[in-house]
Amino acid sequence: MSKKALVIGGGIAGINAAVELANNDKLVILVEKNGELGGNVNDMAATFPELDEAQPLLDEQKSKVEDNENIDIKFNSEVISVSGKAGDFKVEINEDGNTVAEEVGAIIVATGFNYMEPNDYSEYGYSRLDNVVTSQEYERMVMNGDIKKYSNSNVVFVHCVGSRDRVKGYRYCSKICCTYSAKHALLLKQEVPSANAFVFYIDIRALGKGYEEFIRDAIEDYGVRYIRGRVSKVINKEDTLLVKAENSLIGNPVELNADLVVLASAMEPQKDSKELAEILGIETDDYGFYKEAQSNMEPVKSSKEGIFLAGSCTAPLEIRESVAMGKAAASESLSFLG
Amino acid sequence: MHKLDKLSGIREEIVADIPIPEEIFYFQSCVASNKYPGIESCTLDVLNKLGVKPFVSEDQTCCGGFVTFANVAAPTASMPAVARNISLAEEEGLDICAVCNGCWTFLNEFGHFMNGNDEVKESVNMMLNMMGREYKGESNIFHIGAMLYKLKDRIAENVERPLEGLKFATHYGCHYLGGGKYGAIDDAQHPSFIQELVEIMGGENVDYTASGECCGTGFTQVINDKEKSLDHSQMKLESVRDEADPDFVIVLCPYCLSQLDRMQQQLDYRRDVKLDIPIIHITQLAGLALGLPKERLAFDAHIGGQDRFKKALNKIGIDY
Repeated sequence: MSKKALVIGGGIAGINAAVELANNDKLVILVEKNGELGGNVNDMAATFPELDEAQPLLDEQKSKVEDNENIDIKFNSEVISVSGKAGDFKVEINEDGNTVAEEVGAIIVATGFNYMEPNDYSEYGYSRLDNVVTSQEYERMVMNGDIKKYSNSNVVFVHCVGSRDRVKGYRYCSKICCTYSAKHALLLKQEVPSANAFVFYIDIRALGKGYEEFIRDAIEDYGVRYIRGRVSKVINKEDTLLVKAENSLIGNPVELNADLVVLASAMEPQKDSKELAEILGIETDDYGFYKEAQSNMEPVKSSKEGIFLAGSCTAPLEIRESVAMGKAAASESLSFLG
Repeated sequence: MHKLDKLSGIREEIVADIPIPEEIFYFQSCVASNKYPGIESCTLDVLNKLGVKPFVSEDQTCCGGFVTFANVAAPTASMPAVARNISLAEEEGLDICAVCNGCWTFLNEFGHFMNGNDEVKESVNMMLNMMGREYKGESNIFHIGAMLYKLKDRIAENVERPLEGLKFATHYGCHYLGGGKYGAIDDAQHPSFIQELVEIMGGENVDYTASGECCGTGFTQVINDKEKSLDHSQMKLESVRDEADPDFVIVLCPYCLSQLDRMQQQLDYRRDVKLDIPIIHITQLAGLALGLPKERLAFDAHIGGQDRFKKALNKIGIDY
């Protein structure tokens, strides 16, 4: 059995898997397709339900990997072939243009998710209208201070863009948008108290420790206006946006002038998730998320022995759960590392 | 995250599938033929000028849509009418070209429904067999707007009366882009193909906030709750007048034309709302650019916007 492990993906799940293995004296090859670690958390201004700044937390995580002599980070790299079996995998990696061969005992897949581009939702005008952005773009606006210009403005947050929609999007719920939209509204009210935040929702899914209280605080302490109903369209009106929607509690149409519209776009599998599944020989679900060996009892085992799963490559997850899965996957893979 | 390469939502793959036939079955529309004869004469002349011979059938009836949309009869009751009308084109081996969003949606959707439901198709054919006909489901149904877009190169070559100095606004209508999301050539929320045609013809496009709103007919509304219908048309037309002030509003649907045109008069005498907005069909737009005489354009049959008609038409050398 090889003593080395391969971790695919240097996001928050992959980082934690790699560190956990290194702490157990195992050698780790961490393959990251981009030029930096951190994955989707790089685009995050703050965490929830505790409003901590995300970047210092992430830097702390990154340094655990970067300073670790047991971990060999390969940037701009991709796995191109895998053969052999648990305990003795032979792997080829394209490292910045060069093919390198490695032998590893276990593989942890932590490739994360992608924010859907809501181009099919032309009713919201994304990429056609200025000031219609995705939640990922909004996080960057918070970080670089762009949201400060929305003083005395109306900012509208739209839930479920691409989630829970079997016609144009995905049937599943992206799970964390309810809470991160509350976070977005809250950040707005903190940075720009004169701005008005409106959230259009179907129902509120606060599925985590402290989430319900967090959303309630946004409503009760910060005056974020929650309107139950779907937005039907966003159109240009002179210099602003006109948001047309329904208030399904009152049963009336709603029209709102907005200066910024933020779309909570669905979290989807990485575009190449099925290709990687083919290379690894593991199963995916219909969407392209990786399938667990048993959905309740084996959440970090893939369908193939010796290959483990961590983070949002299995389903939309929050940071906390991705971290836990990373550590669990590391622990389970120890038995395949000599 | 990258933004769209192009802002146009035109679905090139659907446009590519539209054939340019030598002959096509021109599907007459009740509203076009009865209220606005210019739509019919322009369709016939424009198609001829662009090298597509229109075939007109004496046997064709109403598409059957109106009775269904107005909740007068169950959808199944008008299905044999749809099947019979399509079978007329099938007998000639022709595809169908509809000038009305209603006819287009109705023929398309019920045709599609029958093609996917053998039981319904068989029972409809039992009725048709009694008339010595059969519905096979072989003819495609195209909207004249899509046909004209497909023929845009030929239009560009044949512009005899450039529409320079004229401003055009658009109203696409719910039942083409909204209802036909599987077969329509453009994005339902941000359509642009009429604007592209206007540009080819030398005109200037102007926009207004309510461009994506319903004309106000809302089928049952105009019958059951006229005030609601009037409210909506008023909102739409005021947005046109105050924001775009166009010489013409181009519509794809004769029923939208009828609503937006005739409600102007009603809004005047019921609510003292002054509007002077010419509303014309896309075939009349093509007719204008391709140099058809004013008798064939038949703008006299329009109620609203007559002063503006005169001003605008005089600008491009038509003595109106």
